[in-house]
Amino acid sequence: MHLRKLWLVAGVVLAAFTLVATGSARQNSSQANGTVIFGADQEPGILNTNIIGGDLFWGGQAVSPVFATTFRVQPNFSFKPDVISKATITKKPFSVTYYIRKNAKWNDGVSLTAQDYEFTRKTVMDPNVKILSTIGYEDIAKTKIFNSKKVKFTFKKPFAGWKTLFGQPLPSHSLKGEDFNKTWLNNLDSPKTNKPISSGPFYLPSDGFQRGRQLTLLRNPKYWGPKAKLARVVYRFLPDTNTTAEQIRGGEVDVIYPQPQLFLVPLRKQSGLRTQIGRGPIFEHIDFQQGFKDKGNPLLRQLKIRQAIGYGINRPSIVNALYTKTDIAPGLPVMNDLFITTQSPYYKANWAYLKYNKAKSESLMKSAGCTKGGDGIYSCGGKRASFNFVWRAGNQLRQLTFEAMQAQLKQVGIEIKADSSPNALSQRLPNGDFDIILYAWVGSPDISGLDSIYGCRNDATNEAQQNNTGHCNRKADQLLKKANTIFDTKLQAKVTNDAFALIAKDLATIPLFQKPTYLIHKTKIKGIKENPTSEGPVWNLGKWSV
Amino acid sequence: MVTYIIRRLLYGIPVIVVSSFLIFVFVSTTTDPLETAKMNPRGSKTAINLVIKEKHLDKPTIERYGYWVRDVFTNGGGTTILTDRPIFPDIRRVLGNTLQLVIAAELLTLLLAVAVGVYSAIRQYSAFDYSATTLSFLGLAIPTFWLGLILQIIFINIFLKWHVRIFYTASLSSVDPGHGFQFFLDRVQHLVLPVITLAIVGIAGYSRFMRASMLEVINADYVRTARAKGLVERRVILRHAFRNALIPLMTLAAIDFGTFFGGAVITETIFGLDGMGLFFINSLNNGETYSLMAWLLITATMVVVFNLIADIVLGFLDPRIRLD
Amino acid sequence: MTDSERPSDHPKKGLTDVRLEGGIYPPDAQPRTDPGVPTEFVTGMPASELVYESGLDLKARSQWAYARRRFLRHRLAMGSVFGLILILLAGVLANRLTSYGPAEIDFNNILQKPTTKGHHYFGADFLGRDYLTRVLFAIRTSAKVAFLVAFLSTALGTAVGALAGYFGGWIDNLLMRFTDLVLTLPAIAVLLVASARFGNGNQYRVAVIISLLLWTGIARVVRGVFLSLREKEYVEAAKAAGAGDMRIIFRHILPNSLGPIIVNMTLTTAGAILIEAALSFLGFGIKPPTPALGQLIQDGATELQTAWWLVVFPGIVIMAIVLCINFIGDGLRDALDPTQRVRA
Repeated sequence: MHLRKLWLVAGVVLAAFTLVATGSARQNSSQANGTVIFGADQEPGILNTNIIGGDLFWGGQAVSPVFATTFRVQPNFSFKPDVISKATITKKPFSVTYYIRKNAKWNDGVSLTAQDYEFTRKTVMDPNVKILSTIGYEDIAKTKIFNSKKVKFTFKKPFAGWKTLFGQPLPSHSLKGEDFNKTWLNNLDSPKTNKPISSGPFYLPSDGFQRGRQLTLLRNPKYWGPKAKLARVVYRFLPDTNTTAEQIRGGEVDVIYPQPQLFLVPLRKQSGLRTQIGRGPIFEHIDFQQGFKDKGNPLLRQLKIRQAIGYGINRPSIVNALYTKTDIAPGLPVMNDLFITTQSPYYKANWAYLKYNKAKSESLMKSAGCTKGGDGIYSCGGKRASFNFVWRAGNQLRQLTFEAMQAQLKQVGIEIKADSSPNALSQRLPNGDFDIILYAWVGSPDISGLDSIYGCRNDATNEAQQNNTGHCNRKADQLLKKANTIFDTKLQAKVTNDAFALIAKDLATIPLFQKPTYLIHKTKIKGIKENPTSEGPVWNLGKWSV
Repeated sequence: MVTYIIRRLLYGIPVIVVSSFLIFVFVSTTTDPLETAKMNPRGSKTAINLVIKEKHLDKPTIERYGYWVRDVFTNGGGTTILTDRPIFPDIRRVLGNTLQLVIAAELLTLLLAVAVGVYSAIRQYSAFDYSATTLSFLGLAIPTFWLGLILQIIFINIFLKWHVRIFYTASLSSVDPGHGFQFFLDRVQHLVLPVITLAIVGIAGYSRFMRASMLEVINADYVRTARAKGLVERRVILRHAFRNALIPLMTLAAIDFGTFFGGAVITETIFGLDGMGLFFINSLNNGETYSLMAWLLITATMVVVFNLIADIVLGFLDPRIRLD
Repeated sequence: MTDSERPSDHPKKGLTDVRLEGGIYPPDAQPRTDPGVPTEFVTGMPASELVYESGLDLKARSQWAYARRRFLRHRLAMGSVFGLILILLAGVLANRLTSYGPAEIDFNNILQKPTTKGHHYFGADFLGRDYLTRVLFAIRTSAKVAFLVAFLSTALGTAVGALAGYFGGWIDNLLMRFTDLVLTLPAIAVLLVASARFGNGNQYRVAVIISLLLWTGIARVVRGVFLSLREKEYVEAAKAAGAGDMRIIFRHILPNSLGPIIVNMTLTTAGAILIEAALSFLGFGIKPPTPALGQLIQDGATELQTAWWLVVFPGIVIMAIVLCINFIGDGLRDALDPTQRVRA
């Protein structure tokens, strides 16, 4: 009665709706007019990527096509000059001279000059500006401006990572006298004219950032370099990876760059889509607590116990299980170096000696004076070989890694207990509250400054503040500090690898694998190429076409 | 009545104060907005210290709560910790979006749940009743996440097969949503799937409550009296039984409606809807205590208000209840 | 079987004393003239005679005996009891039912589809663990938490609601404002804090914390029913007859709000299993590698198109558990409330 009427109404409404909707179904991704729609899984908080809170991945991806940079990192890890024609260095004293391209200019017609470089340095060093990182800039002692297109910075001490400096030269003519902390939060306008400012192939229209929905970039018609082929790039904010996958399957977005997961595998076979799988800059690893702040199970301070764990974990089989057997990233190799990723010409397999060997693991335990208890777990001097294993709760990949390791270690008489926590990285790690911790670092083509992680910690001198394991190898510490002053990339990598070889022998940490990257796009888009560095997929956005 | 409402609203103030204080302490002591910055091996200590000083992060929690209360009254809820942006415009935007989603979903839910529940009750142990029961528990046993995903897959498969875009699977609007009626239609096409997702879960629970309370009253004395008076069955059910059976469901719905202002975290995440739920979870994950507090202030107020409404509705449905 | 033993024909339980003392018949105990009663129940039996007969019976047997009898006659409810026992037994005997261990990893078996080969009837998960084994062991973990939560939260909610609704006044105001307070606290934030504070919480602590957040809905509902029923004639009558507050609450009003209470309990059971999944997401649930139903669903939820069995099988088990509880609840209510129609 009542109900039947209701269904009838519902049916009619739905039918009418379908008809109207069908009539108005527009071709969504309008490639005809040169638009590419990006599915981004995170919305930037602010667009000023230089200050705190502006360092989200997708913020960088949205802003980097708007600004020219000094060096653009290429997929082969080399640094290619962008807004400069060249840069020269002197060693004693260390100085860098930039030769800015003659035609380089802002989209309002003002030339991009040496003053902009000096203004950038001043802004970064302003103690009232919340700059993310001042590394390198703080060593600059003197600036010499030769002419509007040539500038020389002299440093107090050698800085091997100099190519990472001036990633975003700032427009001095529009930012002078402004509070940089309040600039470029919701747009990339010049605070003086309230018009969009840009030095790259694209610009962000003043109302281009619609929070909660999308961010639109338009081609910069005044770009000094080769003009972008796309007229428009739209970043759609879709927080759920499953949804982004469905969106590209259904053609509602054109490009996605998701975390690799099983449900993305079928997309590789879908016609009209192409998937580029890369080995990304993020690498997973486990650290052993060796007594920082006197924390952790003291057994882990013994090399033999750490070795027993190392030999008891079958890393190749875990990586194989997680990525090859599931077909997510077939053939992903184990990583046997730190920060220098497997594709790098300087990669050295320092941890390769650690080959899975159950017998060796058990004999190491025995030689450390441990005896097997009734439950099959070793005890060493009355202390059970049982360790808390910490990771950030909610990370399924790490949970699976843990479960696999747990099963393998159980076979050699070592117990690891799950201790995932939401504040694993915000509190547990910095306080050293773990026996073993699983997390990731982001690698970079610039390998200077690693002594802050793997050096000997000294809170008085502010050294190695990221070392939370209590590990200290003086020789490795010195090598890493030395590497910070070597400009020959090859030699720098060699010295760094020498240090890592020592750390590998100490087994302070065990690298596992690089997280694969998935760049999935419509085959219609040409010129798109995965960049396995932290540049991300938009590094050559200006060259994309449809 | 008016004094009753005013008094109830006044009672709401201590509730909100205690609630906001608890959550402020909970969140500000367990999360750290500067987590990423501190993890960065090249990060600048100067910048971190600037934020700490500017946002009083080094001060005792009680003092920081005081700063927040001051901001609420003088500064529209203050600014975010990490990015120093005003919170008010954001919360206004996400609240508007959530309201569109939640009102539509709640209306659909109530309509269908009441219909299904009443029909199940008057035809207790019929085939319809059994299938409604089974479907309800199916709706409850499968996670919202899965439900949303299934809907997305269905409509994308329809698109791939027939090239007809009936409903969109994410976001609130298309890239170019158009104007006027076209904009409205586009919005509806975006909202239908999340509304259905939310509604299915709601219908499953509500219809069970409706059925149960309908069964309670169907055999009660006054219904029987009505029947004995010779009223037709339909009139008995609608006028007498139905009205009383609505009491538990209306109570529940009013409370739920209050909490719905907080948004639907999972549904909003799946469908990329920029609403209160997503705002909440992002604030929590990023340790943005002030943003979270703005969210809490709205939801807590709404909970208090809707619980009051629930009591008024209760009095309306059953005049014997005294509100005092 | 004589007609007088028919479950549907007895006066409301617990009201015998009232009619004996005060001589007032509770309205619900009057014979039904309901046209919808299945004919076999009243075949050839005038309604007035039924009352007379049942009235005689009451002196002989306690109300609980009748309730039990009625429940045992409830075919669906009994079937559900049997089904639930079967499911729980499967959980308890998990280690006997399969030859695999719940944490037994087999990298040659990763994401195996359900197959009879190697008895992987439910397939295998991301690490090649036999999924049937995982689901069986998960029943163990989840059932404990779910039942505890359902019971605790419903009991707490009912108590608060009953007290507030019955006494009204400042007690009502205080209890309801406290309910408001709990309602305003966002569950996820509270759980996050709990997770960070007492990281390695055991299952019982988890259950208590969930319960402390889930009782508010039913409290409001029960209060609503109490507010309405305490004004009813038979309650007045009971009061006049000198019945104490507790007696009125438990014997006269509470039975009339059993419907929503039982529904709440069944819904909470399902909810608790899924909430526990959210908890393991926060690192505060059951620790891996111990499986739990909600957690299995959560881990497999994204793989709808690639590995459907990861969600479908634990989902079916949750549904079966909840359906059984629901039908048992239906049976209970029918048994305790004779005015309900029962198909025995």
